[in-house]
Amino acid sequence: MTRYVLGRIATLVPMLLVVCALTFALLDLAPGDPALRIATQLANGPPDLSRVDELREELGLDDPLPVRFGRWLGGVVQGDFGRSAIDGSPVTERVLDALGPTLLLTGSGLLVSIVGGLVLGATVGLLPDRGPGRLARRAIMAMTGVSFVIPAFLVALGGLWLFAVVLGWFPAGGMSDPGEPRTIGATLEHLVLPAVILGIGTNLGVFTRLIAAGVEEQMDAEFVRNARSRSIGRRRIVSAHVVRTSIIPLIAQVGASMAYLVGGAYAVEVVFGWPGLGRMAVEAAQDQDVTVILAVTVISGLVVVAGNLLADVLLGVIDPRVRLARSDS
Amino acid sequence: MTTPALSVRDLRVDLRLPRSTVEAVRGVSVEAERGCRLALVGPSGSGKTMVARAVAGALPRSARVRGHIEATGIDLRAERPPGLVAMAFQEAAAAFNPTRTIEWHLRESCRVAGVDPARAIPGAIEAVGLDPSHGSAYAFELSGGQVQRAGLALAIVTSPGLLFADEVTTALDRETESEVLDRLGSLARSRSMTVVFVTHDLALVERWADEIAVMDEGRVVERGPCARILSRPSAPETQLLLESRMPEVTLDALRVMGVPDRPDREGASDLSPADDATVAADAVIDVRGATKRFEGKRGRRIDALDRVDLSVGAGERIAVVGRSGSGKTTLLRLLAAVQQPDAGVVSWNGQDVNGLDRRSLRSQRWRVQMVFQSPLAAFDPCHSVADIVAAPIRSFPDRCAVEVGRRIDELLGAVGLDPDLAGRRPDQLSGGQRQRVAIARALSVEPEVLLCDEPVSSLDANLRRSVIELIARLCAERGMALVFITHDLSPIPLLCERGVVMEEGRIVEQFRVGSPRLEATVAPAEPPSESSDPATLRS
Repeated sequence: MTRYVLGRIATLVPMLLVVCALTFALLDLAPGDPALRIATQLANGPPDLSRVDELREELGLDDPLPVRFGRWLGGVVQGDFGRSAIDGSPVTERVLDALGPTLLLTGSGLLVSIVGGLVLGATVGLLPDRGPGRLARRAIMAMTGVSFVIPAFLVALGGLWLFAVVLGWFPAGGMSDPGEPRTIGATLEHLVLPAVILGIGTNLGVFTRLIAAGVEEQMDAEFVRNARSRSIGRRRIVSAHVVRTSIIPLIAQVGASMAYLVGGAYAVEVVFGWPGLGRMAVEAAQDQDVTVILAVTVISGLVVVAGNLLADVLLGVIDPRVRLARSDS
Repeated sequence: MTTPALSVRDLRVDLRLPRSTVEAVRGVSVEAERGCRLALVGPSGSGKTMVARAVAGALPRSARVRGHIEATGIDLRAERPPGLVAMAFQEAAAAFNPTRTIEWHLRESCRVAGVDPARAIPGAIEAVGLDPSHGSAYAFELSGGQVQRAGLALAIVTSPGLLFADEVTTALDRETESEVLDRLGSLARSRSMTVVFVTHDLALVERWADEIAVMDEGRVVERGPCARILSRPSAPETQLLLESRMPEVTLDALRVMGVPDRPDREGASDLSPADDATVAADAVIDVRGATKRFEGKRGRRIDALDRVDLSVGAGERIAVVGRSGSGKTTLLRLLAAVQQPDAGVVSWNGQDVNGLDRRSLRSQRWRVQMVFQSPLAAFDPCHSVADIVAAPIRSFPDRCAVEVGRRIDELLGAVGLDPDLAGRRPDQLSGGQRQRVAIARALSVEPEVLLCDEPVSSLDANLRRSVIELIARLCAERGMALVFITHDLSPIPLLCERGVVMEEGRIVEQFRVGSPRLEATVAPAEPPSESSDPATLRS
């Protein structure tokens, strides 16, 4: 298993390199001249053109693309993402500050979708397909259908309006009330609504359907029939046998949906003013702050592949077939 | 008057399918006294497994049950006390949760039944002849015979009063089967356990059962003491079952019938076929010094094949026999060039298949076609019978002179199937029909060699015989060579002219079977010399 994880990490390195190179090259194509913009800001008005040239020289902007990429990459490898083109602040520090809130939101959202998917999915899978049970099944399935088609930012706007503005149950944004210190209680209070919305807006529907299909099928599996013949109670059949085997495809799906989840988290961050990477990326894009955009992109890529890897490892922990297949190869 | 251990009255089981309802059990009444050994026998589809499942509470969700089911006077349809009834399933591998170990299941059963696992689990594992280390394995890590015994251990671990054993020895060779049933018998005696064997194996019934209930089409057609029913059956269904029985054959008997292979050669060299020069010329498939290894757990190396030589002449029919795990299937895969040997050479018509590039190997594949042990696993479940049979023709259109639809009809006719079945999917066929479809598929491109991996071991006696006769007839008509893997020796005299015995990846013996005869009756006078000679194959 250790060998498998190390091998996987080794394959991530070239992948991240490609992400870095592509982002760097794409941003280089974008219009705008950082030197001109910085000089404008410094001069507080139309800048002196010789000052712009000087800045360009200073920042190394005249060098060819591969040279600039190599210089930037050298810094990144040492944990230095450079300085903001806008205010000269160290980017690494800012990105790391924003990473915590983003991980908190993403993790909570994932938890909501997994727990919700398990509960709703098992309910659908266990309810009989007749009588009132049939109605409840249909209702849950219809809701998951709706959550498929509505994008995360729309769910976020709607949820914000309903629960924060109309009903006033939750604070409307940020990670703490303005002027108040960031306590754990306040953070949790502010976290609930965006996390639930992120969970619903991204994966809840998919997870519910996966679990429902798994539970329904497994309840008539041969090993469940065998457990019934051994007088194992229904409750234990569900918890020890069926949920365990039905959760396997869900974990595989978590890995596959990481990019979608992180993207959804950024949309929710922007709507809720959550001080994470997503909001930072949007602000940086508006300011054309290239170094910040680069840093956010690389860190986001890292979060996605790390989540992916984690899901893969977890799959091996739960499913011995996967584990043994890996130790064979 | 004592309460019977099992009392089933007017049991009916209906299976509701999407568009129809199948009456699997139509009014069955059976009783068994405490400590009795009852055998439920009958052809496949006769409903015997459904009776067992109904009593054990293991019916599929689509089943509807009516009637009375009682065990020691307890109404099992109302309550199901732990440890009272247990059932060992036919497909033991599927009876275990794939994410849990064997031992985990045994512990779960003990806990629910309030049995001390520290004493019960080692006892159950020993009773079925498993290695204690197998407890920590997952079902999919065990061989077919091991997992079958693990399933039996799971059923007996709580010492149930009533045990249903559904075809629990089909994957075992005769010797292991005897050992397991011996121990099961003494266990049952010491605990006054009532055992119900669900089986199509009349040899097993003869040796182990006290009473028989013969089932056909969901009904019990005849019941009574074992000895009387086997010697003087009254119901025509029982008579048919007994007639289709194939005589038990031992390796000694086969040797008596045949002549020693190449008597002019001596000692160990006797075991290897002729020199390269003489064989390779007329051999359709030739294997020389083939070795195949697999990585086992924790880097342990398993020699599946160890320097095996085998040559299949044109039209020659060879049986490959040996215990489970002796390398039979690996040898077949090398013959079919679906796996490459780690060392050694496999040639088709004198051409080294390893030297061929993918394209030319592909263009030769029609020469060698395969019939698998489990056709259901070898078919695409979404394909119709026509799709399945025609699949090889699509790859080799020039191997089929007539129009494809006509060819399908022809092939289905050749294997004795109604052309109307062409539109069905594999799961809508019976086991015997499926195996016929598999044979029709293999024949569709007129191969030079037919490879069969235990094609009849999952079939009932009557189906078994007809499939074997079919293969024999088709080989004779078309001059096809045959390599036939089997752990049951009885088909060999009907089918093969030469046999090879495998043990631990090596060919340890070769023998001739005389000329194959379709209506062969195996010399019944020969003494049943089961395992008296250590060299005898215990199969």
